[in-house]
Amino acid sequence: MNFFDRLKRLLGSSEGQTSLADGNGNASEACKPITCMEAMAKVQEYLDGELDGVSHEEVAQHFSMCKRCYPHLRLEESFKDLLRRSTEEEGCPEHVKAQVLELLSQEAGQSG
Amino acid sequence: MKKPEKEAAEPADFHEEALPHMDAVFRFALRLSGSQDQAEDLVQETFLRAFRSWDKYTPGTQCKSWLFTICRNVFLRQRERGQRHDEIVSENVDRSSGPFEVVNPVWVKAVKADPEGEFFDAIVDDVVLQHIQDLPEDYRTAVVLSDLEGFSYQEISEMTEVPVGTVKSRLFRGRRILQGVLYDYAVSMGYIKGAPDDA
Repeated sequence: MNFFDRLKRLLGSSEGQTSLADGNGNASEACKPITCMEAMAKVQEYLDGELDGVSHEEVAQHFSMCKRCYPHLRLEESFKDLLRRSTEEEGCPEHVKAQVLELLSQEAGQSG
Repeated sequence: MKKPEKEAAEPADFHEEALPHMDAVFRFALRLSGSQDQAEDLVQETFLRAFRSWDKYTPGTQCKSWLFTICRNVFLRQRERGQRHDEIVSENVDRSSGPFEVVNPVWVKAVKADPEGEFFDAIVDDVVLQHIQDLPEDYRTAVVLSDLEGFSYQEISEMTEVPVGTVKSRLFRGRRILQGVLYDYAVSMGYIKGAPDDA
């Protein structure tokens, strides 16, 4: 089976869950192939490290070989990076920290 | 040799274990309330309550999630006091009833013009934070706890007292809303060329 036939099966439906050949034409025993719909449905859990019912390797393998799905993974990653960056510089103002310490000191004084 | 029983938290440990999380609690309070003043109050109240119940905390466990739980409870109680019941019910209506499309329609539009998502680099933090603030509260909480603070689905489930499946649903839907509004913003600012149906 050539690359396009394998890709077609992969893009088609969940019926295509037979053994997947790697780039050298060897069947991969370690990873069960998953369809595009399965990969798309799992992309957020995959990036969150929270996959359930499918292994990280199985999803990673799909994205590594599927030209249609891979850009969706990249966009999802860029979006997560944007959210993570958005609060990097944000911290509790110093005067609030000082107020908290003062409150705790008063509380400790009362209870002690 | 038998391991000694875990001792209750000592008051002196509070400074070492709890106080380093003040920046994170403040960020969370700011996202919850959307107000600098209220966030400052929430931080004070959270740490005061945490200090008073420090003997209930098990040393070495997840202090950050414990503090976040207190912060959220304080916020919800304060909000309940200031809001009529029907407003709260309306705010908490489950918006997850619509179908969830497996293939993200926003990425379908974005993928041709910018498959690497470089347009996100042009969006400034304030815009992102404002759109996070505009999310429905349940979605906002899930997105903030997961994407901004790095908690696991299980930890968020425990903090917000909902099943993991609900956490996932809120998180995924919250992200989809954000992705849509940030994409629209990027198109309106010329950071990415819009798809024909964006016009």
